[in-house]
Amino acid sequence: MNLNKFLPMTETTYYILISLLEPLHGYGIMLRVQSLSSGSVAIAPGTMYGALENLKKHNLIDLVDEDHEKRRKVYAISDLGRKVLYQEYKRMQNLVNISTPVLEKES
Amino acid sequence: MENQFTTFRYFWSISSEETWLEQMALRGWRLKQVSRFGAYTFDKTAPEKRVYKIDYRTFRSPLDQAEYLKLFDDSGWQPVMDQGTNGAYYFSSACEDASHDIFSDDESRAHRNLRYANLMLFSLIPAFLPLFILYITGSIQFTNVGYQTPGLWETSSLEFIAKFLFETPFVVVRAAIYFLPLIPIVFGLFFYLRYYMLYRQAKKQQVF
Repeated sequence: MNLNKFLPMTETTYYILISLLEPLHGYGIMLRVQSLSSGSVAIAPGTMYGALENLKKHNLIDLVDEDHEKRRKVYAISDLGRKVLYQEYKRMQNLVNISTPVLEKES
Repeated sequence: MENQFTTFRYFWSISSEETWLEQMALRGWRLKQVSRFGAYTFDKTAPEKRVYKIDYRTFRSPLDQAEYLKLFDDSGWQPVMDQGTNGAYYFSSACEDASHDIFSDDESRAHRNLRYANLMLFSLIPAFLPLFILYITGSIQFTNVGYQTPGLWETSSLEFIAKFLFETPFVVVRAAIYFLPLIPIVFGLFFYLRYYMLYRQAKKQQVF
């Protein structure tokens, strides 16, 4: 499967996937993203809900639990999601590696 | 003093509706309910600063809807009602910051317009279908709308004016009956195109 069709990812998507390395519900992801980014990234609920729908549709995340009483669904990254996340990580790392000597000399 | 207040409103844009609700809250009226036909019911409260945001969605299951409302509730956005009105979900937050939003990137903000446009198109079907059937079966014929007096256009000036003026009210009534049902459809299509274009525009504005 060609993983490149998922790349580059939006910041929202990347943060959600990296948060879902452990199973979380929607609001849990929002909190996790805030702590991961030291409060600099806050995903709003409308954006979060849409992103989760989209990630589910493309099988990058799995539904692992439903709690009808608490009105929550728990998600986790899928095997495909893991591969895509890693690919994106390598892509960005590659960009940083190429840029560092060039941009550091500039400034 | 009345504790409740109901009014009908229609809006040209989602943001003008949100702004109106915020102004109502500043005057001490908190939104309680919105009906299918655009009736807004408010409860009297102390004047307050409240941010209102509207989202448009349809859900496959009650749990999907519950999860959605819960996600907003958890992040400090109280749903005004447990059910959407024509697919519209109203959220309010006591946050003082007016730029506080239910979307955090332009992509998802643009998608709200697309969902609104699609809902609009969908809601047109029940209005359009009966009318379409009436046209197809010939119950409504547009050739019957105009002036029916035989030989009207050939008569000379004075007689013409008299006959013309006599029939005009009938033509107006016929036209109203035949074309009135088209008005919601025209409006609906107009809003569909408007929001679809807004969505396209936002997509195009992404520079890279």
